[in-house]
Amino acid sequence: MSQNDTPSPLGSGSHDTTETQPTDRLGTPLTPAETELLRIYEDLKRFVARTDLPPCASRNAKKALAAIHVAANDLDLVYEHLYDLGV
Amino acid sequence: MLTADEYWNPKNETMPREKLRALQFGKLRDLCAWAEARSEFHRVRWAKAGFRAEQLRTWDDIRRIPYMTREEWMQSQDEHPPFGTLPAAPPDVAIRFHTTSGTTGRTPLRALDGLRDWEWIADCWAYGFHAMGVRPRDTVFIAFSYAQFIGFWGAHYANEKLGAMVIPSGSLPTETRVKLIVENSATVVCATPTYVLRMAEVARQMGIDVAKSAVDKIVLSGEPSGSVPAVRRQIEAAWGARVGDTAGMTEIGTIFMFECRHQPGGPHIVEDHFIEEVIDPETGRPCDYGERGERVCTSFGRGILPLIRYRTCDVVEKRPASVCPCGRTFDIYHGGIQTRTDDMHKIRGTNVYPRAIEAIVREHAEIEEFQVVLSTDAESGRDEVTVRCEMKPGLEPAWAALFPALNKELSEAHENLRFNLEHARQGELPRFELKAKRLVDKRRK
Repeated sequence: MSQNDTPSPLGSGSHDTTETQPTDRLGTPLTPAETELLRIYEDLKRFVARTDLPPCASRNAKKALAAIHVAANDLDLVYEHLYDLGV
Repeated sequence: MLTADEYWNPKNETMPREKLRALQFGKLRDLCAWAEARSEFHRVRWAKAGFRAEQLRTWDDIRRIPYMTREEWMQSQDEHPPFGTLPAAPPDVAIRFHTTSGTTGRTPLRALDGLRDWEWIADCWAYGFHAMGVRPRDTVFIAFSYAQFIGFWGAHYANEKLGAMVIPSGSLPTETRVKLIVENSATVVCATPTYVLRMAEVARQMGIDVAKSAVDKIVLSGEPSGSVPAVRRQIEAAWGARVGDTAGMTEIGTIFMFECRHQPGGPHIVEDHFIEEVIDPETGRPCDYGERGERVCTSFGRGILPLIRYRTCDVVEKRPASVCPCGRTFDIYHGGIQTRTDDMHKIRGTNVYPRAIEAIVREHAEIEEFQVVLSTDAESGRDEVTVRCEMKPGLEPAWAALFPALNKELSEAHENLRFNLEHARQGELPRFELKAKRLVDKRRK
């Protein structure tokens, strides 16, 4: 196969929300560990958006979110940028 | 799939190529939409070229995206200092500022990174260190000055991330670094190829045989010679350790390729975080496997500076992942960065590439250091190329026999161009800590 062959039209670049089972960006069902990781990521995103956090909580949570985002991105669960959250 | 030992990210590193392409394409579409919405630099250029992110429907549509060049980025910085119009987020979200090394003598590029960008930068390096077999039990010595050049900063954080113990060395002299490596039983050394050889040289002068140290892995970056076989052999012999090459650039902040412990003849491309195209630099035609061309990089990581179809000037040759037995599906750049399109020097009609000279000189282990001098003969006005060589201590007498052999090899590799060879005195040639500058161009302009 040439390095420039066209791939099959897999992957819409977003989560498949039409199925009951959550999937990654390629439509593959999530493993239990991936499901938990994605939940932690979404929880952290919600948490860092709070405006009532003291600096020690806000900055450490943002640092944690940055690391969790990389894990979720590595496993193809999310692809997005978090600058609007200061991350 | 969250645990496996061979790979940092087994899910993606072993993903079938068809799925990998789909993953890249989905990210490309999202990245282009992001850049179009947030980066004036891209929005204006793309509008002029008639490209919109929504036009990306199949893989071939990538060719609709105009190439991005360093010159355009520099011009944008000059017109809108200090960062130009490329940033897709305000500078206040950044936690660090770095610049390019200035090796090419041009205006340095200014780079910004946020919290998440740094986690990602370290993560890409972690793919490489893990592939070389670095684990939490390792002690990693980073021989790097930790300053404006982004260089090995990511390597430092990658090793902290993967749980190894890091010994930073800041601006310490080479002798102190050698001592730190030996006395603390470092198992991994990370530096440029030039500096790894320099540390071995200094260790010899100190009466230390680093081949007997605990170091068993050397991770290289910063210079293309990390994939030159003769350089690698010298490093592996001097240190008694296995070498792995990587390459990155400030424009992406991290490495885009890493060599695995199977040493397949070139580094794997981190293809879940980058699209790496190889094109004919003249026509833009995509190159096939085994064909040399210019590397064009799209990075999915650093969203604050979206790098999309960036022409790097690096000359590379892609080979399929299957040439390596490691099981990764990430393709390979055979021989690493083979040269640069902007690093070719015309001498009396013949193309001379510094990396090609280094590959020949380093075949002779008796040579400690060398320098390439380009000059113009005052009388004839002819351009000349001189290779000055410094022998290893005690091996000076070998120069007489080496001279004709080296002269012949250099000439034959350059269409019979005549090279001048000079024997430099001990310690006469400069030594380097980071990127070596072995080419001195004194030609009349």
